[in-house]
Amino acid sequence: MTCAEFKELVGALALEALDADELLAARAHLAEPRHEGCPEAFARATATARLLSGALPEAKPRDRVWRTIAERIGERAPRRRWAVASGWAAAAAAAAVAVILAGRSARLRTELEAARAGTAAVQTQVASSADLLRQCTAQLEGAKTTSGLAREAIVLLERRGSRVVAFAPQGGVAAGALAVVASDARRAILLSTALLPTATRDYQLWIIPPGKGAAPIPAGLVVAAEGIALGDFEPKVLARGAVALAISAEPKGGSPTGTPTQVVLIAALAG
Amino acid sequence: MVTSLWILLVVAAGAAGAQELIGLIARGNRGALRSLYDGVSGRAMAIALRILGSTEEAEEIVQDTFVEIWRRASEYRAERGAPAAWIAAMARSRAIDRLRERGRADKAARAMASEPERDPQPLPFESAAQGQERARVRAALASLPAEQRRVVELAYFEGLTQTEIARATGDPLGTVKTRIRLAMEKLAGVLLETPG
Repeated sequence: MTCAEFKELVGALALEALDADELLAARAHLAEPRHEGCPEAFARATATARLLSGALPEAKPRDRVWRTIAERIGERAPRRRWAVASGWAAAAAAAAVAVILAGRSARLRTELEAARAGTAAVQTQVASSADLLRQCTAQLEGAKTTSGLAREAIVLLERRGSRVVAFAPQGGVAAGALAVVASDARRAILLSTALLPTATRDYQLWIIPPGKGAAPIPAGLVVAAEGIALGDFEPKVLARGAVALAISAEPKGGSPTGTPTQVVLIAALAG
Repeated sequence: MVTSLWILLVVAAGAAGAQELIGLIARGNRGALRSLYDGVSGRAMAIALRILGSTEEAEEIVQDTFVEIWRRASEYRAERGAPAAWIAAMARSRAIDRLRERGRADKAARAMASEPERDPQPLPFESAAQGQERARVRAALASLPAEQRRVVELAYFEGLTQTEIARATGDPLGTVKTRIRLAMEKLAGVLLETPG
């Protein structure tokens, strides 16, 4: 997608009126590093769309709504405040860190210290790379005894040139995720504490190949291991090239149509 | 006690106060969440109710939205817009997700059949500022050509995609896309560049 094409549909993007394929392409374009005013156009359209709710007269929820909220927030404290640099990518990275922090334990912190020595050579290409790596390693250590995939992720993380990329939440979804990506981008493993499959829902991995209008390619399902969601992006598909990775929420078993039903996370690989 | 008094003061201060409330919520202040809820839940409820057409479901959306605010208040950035609009956008996204989970079979038909009569009546305690904002946004929508206004309403208030709008209206998809683009450009000019 070109910048001109993006600007043609940015209004529909802000209205959440794009179909799944166009939405994925637009998000992937927005995640690219160079633009001709696309983030600004998106911000302007989003600001406009948000004002539209003001056209409706307000409607008061019944009293029981607040009582339910009060009960629910009594269960847990808000996530710790985190500082971020400005910028969309940094915010996305920090959101993912916040998710990881929520699952941290004293045991993992101890293991983290041991893991840090082994990951000293790993380089990342995101702003808060050190924090991401530490948290990623700690989470993976917690799961490696029962998950072969987690062990593979640790091996990949420790490999020279590997990097950690953060996924950006889409459409107001409260979720975050990281992926450990090999230096040649031919292997990528997802890590999240938020994308645990349920009895009726699966999360599906997608690879967005290079090329104008290229359709996303299904690349496997997210699996759970000790409360951590892991996903192995199909290496054969990755080997053909990828500009972005995406996760969609799907009915059990995966997308019934071959296209993403609801994209919840996306991460750019290009650049 | 001091905190509670301060909450009352910032609420009285209006929109800027709402931003301060979000700061307090990020630090775990439940009283601030209640104050924010009292101030803006009506707008979130209105958009969820308009999209879903069900009070029960709309209230579930409001619940989920405010629980999410409790957990993610630190992610709010003032440059993204006023808190009420931010929160309404969160509620709208959740409502659209719910709508799309229901299935799309009869959604387009329902959307075409529905008219603004499903909008709730203004609340007795609605402030003058809220009334003025509603009038301004409605005037901006009314300034659009009818066919452009309709596609924006179907997308924003009914949760339809461009393809679904084309199917519902019988217009070519390209026409729908053009109308949405032109409408959003014009709305941006009116709403963002005209003092509120």
